Amino acid sequence: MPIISPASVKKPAFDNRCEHHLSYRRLSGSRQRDPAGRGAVASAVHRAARGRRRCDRRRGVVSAVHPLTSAFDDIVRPVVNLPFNASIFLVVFLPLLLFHAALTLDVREIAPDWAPILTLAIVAVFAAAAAIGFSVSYAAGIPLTVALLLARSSRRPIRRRSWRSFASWARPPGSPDCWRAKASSTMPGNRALFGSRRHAHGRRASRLWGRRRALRRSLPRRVVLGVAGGRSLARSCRFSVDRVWLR
Amino acid sequence: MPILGGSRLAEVTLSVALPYIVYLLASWLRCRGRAVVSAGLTAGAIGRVRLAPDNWRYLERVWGNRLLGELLDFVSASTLVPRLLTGVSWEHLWFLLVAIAAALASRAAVLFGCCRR
Repeated sequence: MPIISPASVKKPAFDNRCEHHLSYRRLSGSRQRDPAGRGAVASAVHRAARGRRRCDRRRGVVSAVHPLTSAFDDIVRPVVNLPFNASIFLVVFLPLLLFHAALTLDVREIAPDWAPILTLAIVAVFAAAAAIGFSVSYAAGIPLTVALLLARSSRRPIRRRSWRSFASWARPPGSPDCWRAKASSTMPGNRALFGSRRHAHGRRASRLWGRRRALRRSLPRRVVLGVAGGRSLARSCRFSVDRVWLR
Repeated sequence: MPILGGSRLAEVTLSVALPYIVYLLASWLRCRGRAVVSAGLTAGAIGRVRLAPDNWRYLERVWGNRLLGELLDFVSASTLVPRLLTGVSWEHLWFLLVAIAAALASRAAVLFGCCRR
């Protein structure tokens, strides 16, 4: 049983409304005769404390009955009911998080692998948003626009601390240590594997270089297409949400 | 940077203030996250070159301690979660599994279909 009784907590109006909305399920459940599904004794105790609990039940929190168990309520209250808002979180902590992640990245180290990084950061994000949106709308039966918005908000771009960790993962175990010769070229198929570009010869090497060149050449088109498609998708989503979902 | 005269405390202060300045300025242009990330990348690239090695190490250590602030961020965000969890039922778990499976499948498709052309 939670020992927090927020009966006397003063809250701004918007927060109350929000919480009331969130505890809707709980509220409808506690309208029944035995709200928590307890036995006769517990429900007698519950009935005795009903007057005190009426306010709490609306908040979806069951308060403590014994005065001893609610001795720490005043101490714990600022921790449980944080005087924070989501926007404050965003403004205070988001720049710190992003800046720290970006500051510890070494650009020169990850620069040679910009093509797969950008592919993962742009194409993969849109693909994941589309996949999550369609599958969730199919599974949960919510409208497609809402599911796409959910997927758009919950997407997590793949940001690795260092591309090198991925490269060392992709490298087969027991491979020669010369692949690690340069910090930036640990991916197989890079210069460290075949010597310099001039010395790249043989069918496998030339095929690899051709593949990399083709990938690099087609990348701007794919990036532009991805950005334009994502923009139009988001705009149509917003439009249809404004027009249809919110009327 | 040369105005600071190699004072590492001043450099650390500047590096702490920079993300907020960039965030507030870029919120006009509606590209806050991207602006902060690119500012961080630029600051890292410049700082590695321009700053004295000792000062740069000190700055990195200070930012490592700032990780404590990020810890605070996650802990305080997780204290907000239980209120959201009051309305959770088992079917939400199913939706969550569907979403996770879809995300993993799309990542795998992009990673093995697009990157390994």
